[in-house]
Amino acid sequence: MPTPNALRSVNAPSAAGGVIPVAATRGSRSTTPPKTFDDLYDDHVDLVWRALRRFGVSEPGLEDAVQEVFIVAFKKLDTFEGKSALSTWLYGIAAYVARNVRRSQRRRPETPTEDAGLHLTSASDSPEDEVGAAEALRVLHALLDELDDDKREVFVLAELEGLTAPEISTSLGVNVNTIYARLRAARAAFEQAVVRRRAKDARQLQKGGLPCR
Amino acid sequence: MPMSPEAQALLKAARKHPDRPSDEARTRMRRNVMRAVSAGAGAVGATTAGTAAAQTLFAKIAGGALVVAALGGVVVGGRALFSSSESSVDPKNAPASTSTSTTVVGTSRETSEALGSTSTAANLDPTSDRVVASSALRTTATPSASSVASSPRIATAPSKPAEANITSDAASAPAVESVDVLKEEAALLASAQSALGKGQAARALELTNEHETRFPKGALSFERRAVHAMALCALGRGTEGRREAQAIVDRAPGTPLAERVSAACP
Repeated sequence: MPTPNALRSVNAPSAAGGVIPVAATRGSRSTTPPKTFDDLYDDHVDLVWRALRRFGVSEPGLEDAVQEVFIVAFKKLDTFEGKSALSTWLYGIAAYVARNVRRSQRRRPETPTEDAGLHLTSASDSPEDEVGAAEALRVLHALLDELDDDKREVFVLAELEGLTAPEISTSLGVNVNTIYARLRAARAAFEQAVVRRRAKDARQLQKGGLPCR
Repeated sequence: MPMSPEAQALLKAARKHPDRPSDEARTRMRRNVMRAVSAGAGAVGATTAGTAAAQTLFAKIAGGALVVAALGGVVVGGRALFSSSESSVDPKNAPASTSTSTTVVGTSRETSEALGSTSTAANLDPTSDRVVASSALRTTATPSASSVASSPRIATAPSKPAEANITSDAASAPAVESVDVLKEEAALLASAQSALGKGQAARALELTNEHETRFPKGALSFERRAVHAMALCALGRGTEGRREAQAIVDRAPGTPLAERVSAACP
């Protein structure tokens, strides 16, 4: 992979053209020649949106958070060394922005929870179709909400985004052994959340049955 | 530790059907981001010119076609925006090597200061206690913005004309065009601010009039009106000035901008 500085130098920007060059490779982990910041946005906006959502940023603040990630990324481009995939770097920024957003969300008065309508059994029953998948996502997010920030980030990056422990280590700036430990703990915590949810479903079933989807 | 079947099913569903932004959201965010980073490029270019910090990306490319240092006007968004971003950036992941504020040289200083005051004045959002940004950066989803009022945000100034403008052409106007237009707009407003700061109120008035002619629905219309009002009052045209000033106060009561305008037009 060419160095960022080299990439920058071959991407002489043009104010007239309005493109903003970046030292980056296109796509999540590709080595396609670098393009512009516009390309960086287009290539990664879905990734950033998805990651922030999974990190616990709820819909009302999601757009603002996505924008902040890209603005921070733009500002810090010169600190991106090109040693990792650009996506790995962006995950790190997204994780940090998400922490800030969640912290402020926690400071606000409790909003009505959507938890009442969520049922593990029905959600995990047939998640293949669109309705089932949407339900599954809601349940998943509710379960992820039960993890603390450290576990959630590692769990999401490993289990959903498919990063390796060394990649997560790079992304979050945390020692790789710590990542392994957190991942183990996160999986256990997630599983415990599933068990709690299963028990809750069972109680509701005894009371009057689960609603049909 | 093996995952339960339920957990596996949920994870599989999430991998297969991930959350995605709508096309409208993508477009809206893209526009806001590009506006913001364009302003930011100017800020960095201006503030690093001639300094030891010239090893940044933008300084490195300053010798090329991007002469953002000459376009100090865009600092209006950049400074404000970056003051927001820096407050929320993890130094570990994002070292503050592109720090924007203090080492400004030559004409950049003048422009930056002029615009800096605009930036400060643009910190209008009554619901936010920490974020500053140009009105050009405002997101169009007001409920969304207010719902994260205390979180790191990129947009605050309630410039309704600008907001309406952005909303109406968000899908059609290319970001590329908006970038250059915003730079020109910001530069012109910076000149007006600068003139006012030097006591050249008549010149400031000329420039705000020019701004209004060239950018009648510009992203910085609200800020321009404030400068216009202050220029009028400085010229002794208090009746007109106070009327303009009142409009600013009504629109953004209790904000620094409203206070400045009120002070200039007692």
